[in-house]
Amino acid sequence: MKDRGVMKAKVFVTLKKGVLDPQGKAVGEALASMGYSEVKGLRIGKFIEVELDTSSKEDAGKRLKEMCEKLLANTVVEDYRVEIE
Amino acid sequence: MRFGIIVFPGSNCDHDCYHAAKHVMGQEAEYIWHKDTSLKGFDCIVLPGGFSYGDYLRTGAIARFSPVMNEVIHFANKGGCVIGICNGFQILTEAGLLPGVLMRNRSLKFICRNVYVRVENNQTMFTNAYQKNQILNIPIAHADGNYFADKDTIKRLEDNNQIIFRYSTQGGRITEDVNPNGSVNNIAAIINEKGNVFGAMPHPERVCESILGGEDGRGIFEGIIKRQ
Repeated sequence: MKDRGVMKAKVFVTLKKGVLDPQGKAVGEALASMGYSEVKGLRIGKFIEVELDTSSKEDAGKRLKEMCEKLLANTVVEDYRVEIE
Repeated sequence: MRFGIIVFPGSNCDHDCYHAAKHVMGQEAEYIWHKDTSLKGFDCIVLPGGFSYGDYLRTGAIARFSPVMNEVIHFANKGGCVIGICNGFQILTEAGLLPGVLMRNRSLKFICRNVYVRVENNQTMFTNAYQKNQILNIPIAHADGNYFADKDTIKRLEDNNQIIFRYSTQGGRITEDVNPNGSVNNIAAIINEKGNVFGAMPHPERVCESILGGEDGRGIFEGIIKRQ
């Protein structure tokens, strides 16, 4: 019998272009003030690891898209990207 | 009339709302646990301020899926009176009952102080006790009150008079200096298109009695009660 095992997925949630990111701006400015003067921009997002009990990559992709749309991202201001291992 | 005040795990202004509705305004008021699934017999549903689910992921994002929220959405779609204050406003936007989103304050700081807001529209069931352009002195207390929506949504809100309060000077001027959190167009409170769902970052329930520092928030409750 084939073990279903656990599928791992990575979800990246980032602010859409044009949406102000005060936290990223503050961190970017901090780096610049520390001497990393090459830092010209910095934006902060979220990285979410999800473990799924499923064997179908296709199903996992569909379900993860739903999860992102419903809860993990607020699509008014955020984009998301999913990677399944 | 009967106010129902929803209690999420992490709500902390539920008691203030209860006190304002029941003891100051003399109305019936009851708490509703977030796992309840009936809003029968209530005339107005209040989503209070606080830090529901510790603000994990995004403010209001998890509370929006509390069992009671299906009923709140149903109640609102039937035209029921719903008011969300602070975290309640954040939950209403996450639930899609109000447009836009409340992002981290521009300053990245939690801001807790009194501000002035100007009443932009007094032709609503929440603001009919105020004069148009009346200036209210009301406290804010939030880290995520920076109202944002895309240009089309903002235009629609402006065109339909759905912007209810704007941060202003004491004299009623809308300037960037008095915008505490970076909100687009100094937006502090909005209403849905149908006019029955209201969201505000300022806390009217905290200024309903002079002994607590002011009465400028009473009008919200008076308006709702008068209209029912």
